[in-house]
Amino acid sequence: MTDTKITSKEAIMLIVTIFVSHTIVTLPQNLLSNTKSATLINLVYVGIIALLLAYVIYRLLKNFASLDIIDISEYLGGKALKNIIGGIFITYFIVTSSNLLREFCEGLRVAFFPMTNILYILIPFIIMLFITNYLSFGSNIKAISLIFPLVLVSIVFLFFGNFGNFSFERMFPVLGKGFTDTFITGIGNIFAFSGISCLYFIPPYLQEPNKMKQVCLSSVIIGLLYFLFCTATILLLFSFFVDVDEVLPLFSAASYIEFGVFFQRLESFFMLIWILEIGAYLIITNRFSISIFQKITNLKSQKALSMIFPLLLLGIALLPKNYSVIRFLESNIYAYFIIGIVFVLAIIILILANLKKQKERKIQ
Amino acid sequence: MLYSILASRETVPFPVIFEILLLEISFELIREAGIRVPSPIGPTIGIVGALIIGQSAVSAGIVSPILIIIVAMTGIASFAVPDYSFSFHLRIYRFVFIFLGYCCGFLGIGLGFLVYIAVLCDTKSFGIPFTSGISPLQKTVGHSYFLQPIWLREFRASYLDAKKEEKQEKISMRWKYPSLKKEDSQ
Repeated sequence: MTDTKITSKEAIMLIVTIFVSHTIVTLPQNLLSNTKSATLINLVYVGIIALLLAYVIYRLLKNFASLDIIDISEYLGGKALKNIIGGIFITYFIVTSSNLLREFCEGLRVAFFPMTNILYILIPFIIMLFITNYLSFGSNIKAISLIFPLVLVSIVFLFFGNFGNFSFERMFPVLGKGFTDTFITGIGNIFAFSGISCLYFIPPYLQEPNKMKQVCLSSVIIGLLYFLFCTATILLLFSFFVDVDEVLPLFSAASYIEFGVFFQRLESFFMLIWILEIGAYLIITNRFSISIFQKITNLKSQKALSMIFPLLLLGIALLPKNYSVIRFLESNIYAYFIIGIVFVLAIIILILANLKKQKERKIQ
Repeated sequence: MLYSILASRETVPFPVIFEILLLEISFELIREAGIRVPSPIGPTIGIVGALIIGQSAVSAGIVSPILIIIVAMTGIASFAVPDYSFSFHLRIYRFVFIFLGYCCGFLGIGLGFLVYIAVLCDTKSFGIPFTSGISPLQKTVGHSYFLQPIWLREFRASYLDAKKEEKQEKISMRWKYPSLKKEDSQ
């Protein structure tokens, strides 16, 4: 049982891993295409809103000690609602992770494996998931907590290594496309904080449930800082035409780093770290999907599902015909999908459950 | 440098994986022979065997010089592990990573490394996780990536769950501080 419990620091790293993984692929491009040169200001604005939402989520979860959103939806609407919400979140985790996996593998194919079929690039990730699903949740998270500092350092290094190549005039105009696009419609950029979805599932796994507030707030703050570094690197380094069409823009940014003549073309080193990061993300989403399925079907053990969910992930990752389909899904549909499930549906469930609990307390 | 490496591999008829496996197996054979041969001549056989095999293989065009350097560095690095028994599993995992690298390049090595770390975190010794001290981070400093000097190791590692956490008093080298000695005598 102790193998399933994680410390608050590990929980923070788990949530920030979800934030980080999307920035490696196309998240900065999607943000930049929405708000152009005002993206940094918009990120700070959206980050403050995400921080407030994280606090609201903490307060709503506080009344249900060590219960996750699946248990709360069962309390609210019985098994029917539990199964519906469980199904929605399983779909959410599998679709987002398969989309990310396919996008990353397409980027790997363009950069390193041009003659390889996409299936053979996806398969190593699936085999990795097969093996890690047989290990305990706690040990997977411990492994992620070892890798996580490398990823953070890589992005900070990417930012400061490219500092000499930045063109700071790309930050102007400060408000980008205008006040409305930056602060009114730009609020849609909150989809970048999709890692908040893990906050709904973390409470049963925490060793110290009283540290949930620290987990909620620290993860959003670290995620925001990370987004700022990543987006600033791409905004200040590339022109907008390159920004929106580039495959794996951070990888392109890494190729500009050089220290003298000997230390050049370090992008492969960064790619190795980012492969670890994408693997970590897949482990987390896969484990959450399996645990949700186990809850809604009352299965005794998760081991039976260890191979099924990775294969499902592979199947869905192979569905898009090519990279342009994935980009279309990512830039036009993905944001609404995340906002609808993570920021609207889940919070409504929590609010209704809290109202029901208050009503029951008054009756008592 | 890339051109010189490619040029040195031009004369070799075999793929890289064959060269690596040939050299690694030869290295393991020399190591095993050196253990089993009587002690006065054991190290000599190791050194002579390695030099002769390496030089002959390069002269015959079976392997490239750069690979000799890589395999030799790998072998020497395996001897640099502080505890000798820790390096036993590396002698087997080395071949797993060679296979992964051959199949999938650095993608295979990256994912193999992730699985390796996860398996290491899952392993326990007498109920204590193998990676205690570094994951999860423990309160007691100086027992994970960096080891303190002996005179600074005041507390035992928290993952030991010891009854008495304090191992030695704060000022362990009391002979260096005469004023403390005077206070004791008073």
